[in-house]
Amino acid sequence: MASYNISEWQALMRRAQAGDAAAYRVLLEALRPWLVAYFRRRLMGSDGEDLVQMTLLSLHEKRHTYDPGSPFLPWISAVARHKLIDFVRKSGRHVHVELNEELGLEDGMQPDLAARDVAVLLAQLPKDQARIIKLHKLDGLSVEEVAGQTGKSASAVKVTVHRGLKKLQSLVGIKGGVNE
Amino acid sequence: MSDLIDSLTDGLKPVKPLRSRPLWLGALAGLVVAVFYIWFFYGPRPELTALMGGEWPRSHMPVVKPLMFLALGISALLGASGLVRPEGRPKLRYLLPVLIIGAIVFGALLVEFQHDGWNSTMANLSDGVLICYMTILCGGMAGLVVLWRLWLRRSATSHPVSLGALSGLATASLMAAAYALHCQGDAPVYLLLVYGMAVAILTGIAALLGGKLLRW
Repeated sequence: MASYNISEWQALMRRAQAGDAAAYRVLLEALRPWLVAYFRRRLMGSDGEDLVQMTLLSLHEKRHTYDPGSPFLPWISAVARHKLIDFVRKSGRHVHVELNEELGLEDGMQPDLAARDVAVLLAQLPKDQARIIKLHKLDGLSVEEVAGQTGKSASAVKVTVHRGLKKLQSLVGIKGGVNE
Repeated sequence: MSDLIDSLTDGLKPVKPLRSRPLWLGALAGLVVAVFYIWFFYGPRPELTALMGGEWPRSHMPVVKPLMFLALGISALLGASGLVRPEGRPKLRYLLPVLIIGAIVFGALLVEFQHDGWNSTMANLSDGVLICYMTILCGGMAGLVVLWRLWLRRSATSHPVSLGALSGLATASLMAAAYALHCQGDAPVYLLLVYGMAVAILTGIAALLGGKLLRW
């Protein structure tokens, strides 16, 4: 797993906003592998490089929207996610959405940020459906174990999970199949 | 990739971080202009003139109505300022004031229907409907253009439709607050179908515009 000096990025971005080109270069060069990992993890294809470039361009154009008093990672993650969703909407391609609390560790995101994303998404679903998906996808229970805990049949659990994941994908603007 | 980084870093200029202050100063200035316009061109309602002479009106509505729209405008501006950056997310609390005020006015309308009947209630719609619509829509739209020039065009929201809608809700509500200083239509049906509809129309237009203009 690559390691990133995320705490340094905030200071670099502040200096970049003030016009420090050297700090900006260090930041962009440090962000590049992070972005490659971010997109590689979410796209099962070779389009990551284009997205990295698009994200760096957006970062440049919108760098004034970074609040110097706030952490940098949520800001750059939101920019990257925005570019990803935009890309997926335009291309209509299939994207791998993992519902895993480990999501983000590889690209250096704090687990609590990734967990918050998952929690926010699950909150959009009916309670029963969210619970079943949590048990199966996050807690790692088998379909049969989830069926046992929830009092539903195994096939009902499978259908609920499938529909729930489809709905989650549509919530983040992703069309296409579901990875279960 | 290094070419891209070279081109982005070459001749890098300092940028002014986006702040909320221009939003609030612009909104305050716009509200002051709107209040002056209404006060001097339309004239204040008689209860407010009397209030300035120290006489509290029999009904609270001459005072409550402008404050109600002012509260809507401020809450919508708060919502817009929360959505202007990429990491901003829509929250239910941005809509709570609209829902609460809408529910109160709708409840009052039902009571009025029950008490006075359809004909008597709808008779409250006869005065000044067109001027009310036009003032809120035109004034709100002018405010929206100023908001765009001052602030919105520098945004990078992940939710352009919501940001557009909240901006339209804010400018229309502030214009409605100013117009309420003149307008004597206090009946719930008037508030809902004239003020409410004008504000809703501008909110819808701004949401559509936001979906087109705030993408990046």
